This record gives sequence, structure tokens and C-alpha cells, in this order.
Amino acid sequence: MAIVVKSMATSGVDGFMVEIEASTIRGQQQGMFIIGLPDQAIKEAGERIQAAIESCGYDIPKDKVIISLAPGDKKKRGSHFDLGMIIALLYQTDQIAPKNLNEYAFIGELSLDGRIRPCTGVLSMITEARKCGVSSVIVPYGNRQEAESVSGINIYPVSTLSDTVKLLESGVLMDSGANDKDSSGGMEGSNRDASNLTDTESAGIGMDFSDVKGQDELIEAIMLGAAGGHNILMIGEPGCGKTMIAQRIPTILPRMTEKESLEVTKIHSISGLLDAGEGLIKMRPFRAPHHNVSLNALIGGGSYAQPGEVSLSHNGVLFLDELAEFSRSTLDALRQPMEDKRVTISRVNGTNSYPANFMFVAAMNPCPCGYYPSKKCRCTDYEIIHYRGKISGPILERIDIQKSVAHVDYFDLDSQKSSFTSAQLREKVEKARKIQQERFRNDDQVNCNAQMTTTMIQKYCKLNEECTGILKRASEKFGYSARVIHKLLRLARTSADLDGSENIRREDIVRVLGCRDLDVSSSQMYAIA
Amino acid sequence: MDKEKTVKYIMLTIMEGLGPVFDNSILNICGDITACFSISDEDILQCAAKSIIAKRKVKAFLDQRNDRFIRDSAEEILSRADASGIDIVTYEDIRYPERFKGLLDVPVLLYVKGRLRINEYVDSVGIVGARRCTQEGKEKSIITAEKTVKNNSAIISGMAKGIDSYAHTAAIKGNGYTIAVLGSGADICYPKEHEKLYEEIIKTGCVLSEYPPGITPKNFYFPMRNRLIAALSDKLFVIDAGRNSGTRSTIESGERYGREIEVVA
Repeated sequence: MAIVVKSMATSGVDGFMVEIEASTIRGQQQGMFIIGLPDQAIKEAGERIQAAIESCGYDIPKDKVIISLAPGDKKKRGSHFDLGMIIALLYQTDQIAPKNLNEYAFIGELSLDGRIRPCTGVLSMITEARKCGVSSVIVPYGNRQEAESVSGINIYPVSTLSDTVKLLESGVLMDSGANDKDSSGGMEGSNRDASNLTDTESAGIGMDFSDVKGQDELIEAIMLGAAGGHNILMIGEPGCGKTMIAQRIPTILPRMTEKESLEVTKIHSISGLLDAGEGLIKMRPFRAPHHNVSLNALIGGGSYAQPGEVSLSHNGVLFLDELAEFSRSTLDALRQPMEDKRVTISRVNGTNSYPANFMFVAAMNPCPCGYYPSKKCRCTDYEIIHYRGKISGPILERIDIQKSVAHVDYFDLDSQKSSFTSAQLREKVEKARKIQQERFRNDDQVNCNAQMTTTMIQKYCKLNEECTGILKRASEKFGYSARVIHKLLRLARTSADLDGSENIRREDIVRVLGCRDLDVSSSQMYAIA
Repeated sequence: MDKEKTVKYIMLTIMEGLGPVFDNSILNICGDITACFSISDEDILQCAAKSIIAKRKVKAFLDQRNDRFIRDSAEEILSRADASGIDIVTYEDIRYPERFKGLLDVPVLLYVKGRLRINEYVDSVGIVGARRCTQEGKEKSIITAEKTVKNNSAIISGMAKGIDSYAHTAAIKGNGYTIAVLGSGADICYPKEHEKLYEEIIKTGCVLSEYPPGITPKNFYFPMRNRLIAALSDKLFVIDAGRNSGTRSTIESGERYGREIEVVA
């Protein structure tokens, strides 16, 4: 009779359960056969298992061994089935005597000497295991923090095969003797409360808006963007601090909820980007792909439809520096994820859907040489228009705030002082977000001002006569379309929310009109466009 | 103008080893284009012996005038010009610039896209200068062009980056007449960011070139192009040009043709 051992696998960000069946057939040629649509890493498990069996003092079966991964029609990948396979095989050949084997699920890669190595996607697998009613999961010691962030399931971190066998036979986890002797390894299967996400300061990345000097106007615009979920484009000459500011945006975004944090960690876990020993990711991700990034790396792809940068920056910031240098097709591919907050990637080995709800922050130079409008610039207006035209209209349409970054004079004493700290800004942003959550509590699709529909704009963005007049004059001067006006109204709503004002005031309109620098600058070009 | 004549003009301009100076001289010697291809070899040699043109060049011409390959290429150029809406304005055409008459090194044939109405303008002004111009240069270019338009003069330039582009732009914005002389075939827009400008110039003015359609720009075409700007203009305004810039060749041609030259400062 075949032995059945539970293990987990991932498909996209979600896990699914895999049952490992081991069987031996007497009288046939000796060998190990792994079936159930395994990938190369799983096929090689046979050799790892034989080496581990040998080095741990067990006997390699003399019969034909068949290991089947069920469901047999679903493709599986990864090296984390090793542990489940070896346990199933040892039990099948009566070399170990585990108790309550069907309560456990096994995740872990074997090394040749019987140690258990960490693997990717553990969080997704454990979340799914809990859903499937598995009560205990055995995970590699290196993944324990990630695993322990799931509550309501027993986690047993193990570092060697013999520990695992002892645990299964006695029901007690021995001191794993891992290099890391801190108490969090735990003697008992730990069932920790993962909800303490009260991460006080921005998780020690040592970045704060107080480092940024002389860019007060821009920082206010950034705060506006962060408060209303508006996308931002910064335009400025080289070396004025665009990248520095972008890196600090996660420090003023509202703290992640546990749910958001889990989503982020899952994506990073299946991408193998979680550092060893790292638990839940509490800091909002900041991703800054270089401008030669391929379409598949940005959106997601590869033969297993892995998540791309848009998903890795889920719940965080996707920063594209030198926006005009990105290839047009790459940029245009961003349109759908920006709209749907999700990407679906189809490949031979499956179709996966990943969340992609990011704040889009971009930076570009004002002209090809980078110095417009200073005297240094020798670009012609036609070149500047051509350069700016590289960013397609639909992408620009999705960017509410276009702010030019002022040139910083290092020796100007006035600009030495910093007016904002991240903590202050974040407090304001969180307050504004709270107002928005209250406003949109009846709507699932909309949760911040940037996502307001036209009907909502009419409902929530009423202007008094004075404000209408200012907006009308500006719109006539720069030829704003109705769509741009809607953008401005959304921004004005956020601006009012930041100050806790119920109505949109004069200063809100003035503030948001200052957020269209690219339009203003482009309208001054002397050219036939 | 009948097709046969046009083909002959094209053949004359594309023959190898012969330039516009020869084209002008042979037309002078033979009287007209048909004669160039019908007079016997001996007669042409005899007439040419009395003129300044080298015997070697006359021989090259005689070798090539019945060349099937040259004729085929000329016909292909003609059909290509027709397909891309390019007019071929020859020496005999009423639109052929009066200002070219008496100059030895101007082409006997022009490829024109748009309307060539230079002969209707009493005054024509060339505005040339740096491609990498300063903000002041840009303003000067615009002001000069605006003044020119007000005087009801045509604006000639080269549709290059910088000063040239601003001059054309100001002409179009002021509803003036402007001609762009290109260093490539008249159907090619170079630099490519001037695509809109190119289209607008064609609508009201014209772009012209001595190179057949489909010829991509080459660096040594531009000094040649510059001499046509000088030849088409009565007066040349030079803005922001460097000592060894391409504009220098425009100025030198202008001096040779006796054009009035003014440096805007």
C-alpha cells in the first residue's frame, strides 16, 4: 500500500495542496521514478534523496520506487518537495515510524548530507495549508519567520532530516541546533500573533524626508499624491534630487495593514526575494527598474509566469527613472495594470494573475540635454517636444501630478533647512486617507480620490464661484481638456482633505494648478506641433 | 511640359562625373535639352571645344547620353516623384527661380514638394544659423522672420534644427511664404522631429531639393544645399553661427552670388 504525505506547491501567488505518494514494487529493476508533471528540479530530487538517505544512515530501497505528486495533471515546480518525498519513502520502507503523519504538511529542500534548505513561496503555501485544514507544517529553519507570520497553524521549523524524523516519532521538536540560536526558533510549534505591525519607524532603511533640502514645493506635491493615491511625474535637471525624493515616498505612505503586508510578502516570497530569516514585509516596497527593463520583467512573465516589477511593487511605489528612455512598448504595457490594479500573465506552464496596485512615480529630464530652461540648455523646442512625445498620451493621462523639480543651490543657506520629516507627512497623509475611506466606504472599486469616477467628482468636488473662475481662466490659457479638469478636481479634493476641509477652497485650486508644470512648459514651446 | 523632356533633364542631372556647372554649360551650348540628346557627337565636341568645359566631361556626357541604364533610372525617379507628389521644376519651367538665372553652379532641375512661388516675391530673405542656438538666437530668429513676413518677403531656410526651424515656424505662424531647401530627397523629413513643420511648410510654401526623391541625407549634401539657400535669397541673415559652422558655406556662396549678408547681433 502506498504512503501518502502532504506537501504544498505554488501557482502564481496562491498555493495548492500536493499529495506525495510513495510506493515500492518488488522484483522490478531498481530505480526511482518521480511522476506527476515534475520540472527538472523535482526530477533531480531523486538523487538528493538517495544521497541524504545514505548519509543519514538509512537504507536505499532495493526495489523500484515510484513517487507520485498528485494531482497528476497539474504542473509542479521547485525543490521543496524533497522533504515530503523522503519522509514518504522512509515510511513506506518501514525505516521510520511517524505518528499522526496526515496532520503534517512538508516543505523543504534536502541537501546531500540531510540538512534542510530554505525555499521560496513558503508564505503562500502555508496560507493555503491553513485553508485546507492542515494543522501543522514542517518548514526549513531558514523560512521560520516567514512561516510564523501566518497565524492559526502550527509551524515546526527544522534544520535536518533527523530532527524531522524525531519530531514525527515523538511529536516534540528537538532543539534544532541551528546556527541561529535565538529563542524565536522555538521548542514548540509556535503559533504566534502576527498582527503586531506597529512598526514605528520606517523599518530602519534610514531614509527620511528631512534629508531633502530646498524642495518644499515638490514635497508638498508628493504629499498630495501620497494622500490621494495620485501618480506623480517629476521633471528636473540631472542631480536635483528626483531619485532621492522618490526613494522616500514609501516613508510617508500610510502603514500597511496586515492583509496588505501578507500580499506583499507572498509575492516577494514566490519571487525568491525574501531575505533569509525575514518575516512579514512591513515596509511598503519601492521598486526602481532600470530603463532597459524588458516588457516581461516589468509586467511579469518567464516560462512560469513569474511576477514582474508591477507586482513586486504592489502596495508600494513603482519608480521609473528617466521615463523618456523606456521603450514605448514597455511603457504602454503599464496601462492595463495601472487601470485594473492587477495583471494576468499567460504562459505555457500556466496562467497567473498577480495584484499590481502600485503608486506610479516617474522622473524625467525636461529636455534631451537635461538642463531646460536654464542657459546651459541648447535643445531646440522641436527636440524638446519630440523628447516629451516619447511618453505616450495614455500614460501621461494617468499621471495626475507633473511637478518640476527646482535646481538646488548647495551654498544657499535658506535651502539648508528641511521643513518636513517623514513622520509629520505620514501623519497628514494618514488623516487624509481616513477621510477618503469614510467617503468611499460604500464602494469596493474606489478607495482613494485618484480613483473617483465622473459621477463622484460631480458629487464630491463642488466648486464655489471664485474657484470656478480661477479654473476657467487657467483652462482657457493652457487649453485643458475636460479630462485634465477632472484630474485637477480630484487633486483639489485631496488637497482639501489634507487640511480636513469639507469644501474645496481657493487655495486648493491654486495649489493643484501648480501641479501641471509639464503642460505649462510645453505650452511655451515655439513650434508647430 | 512633356514627359520626354523631363526624363532627359533627369538623365542630365544623374549622369556620373558631371555637375550642375556642366549641365548649365551644355544646355547653353546646345540650345535646349532636346538638342543635347539629338545633336551628333562630332558637332557637340566641336562646339564644346570653343567653351570652357573640359573635353573629358563632354566625352563622359556623350558616353552616357544613350546609356539604357541612365534612362531607366531617370524614368524610375520620375515615377517615384509622381508617386510621392513631387513636382519636377526644370530650367524651362515658368516656376524655375529667376534668381538662378546667370548663376553657373545651380541645378537645372529642382524637385519640389508644395508650391514654388518664389518668382512672385520681389524680396526673398534667407535666415540661417546655428542648430544649437541660444535662447537669444531663437528670439532673434523669430523677430527677423516676423519682420520679413510683414515686408511681404519670402523666407528661405534649410529646415535644420535651431535657427532654421524657428524661422520657418515664425513664417508659418505669421501666414508668410517660406521655402525649405533640403539636403536630402524632397520626400524625406530630416531631422525627424520636424515632421509637423515639414507638413505645414508644404501646405503653404514648399520644400525643394536638387536630390531625387528617396535620397537620404548625407553630410556633404548640406554645404551644397546651403548654396541653394544663398542663391534663392536676396538677403541673408546670419544668427548665432560659429566660426567653422555649416553656415559659413552659406555665407561664402552668398558672397559669390553677390547677395547682401547681415549678421544679426
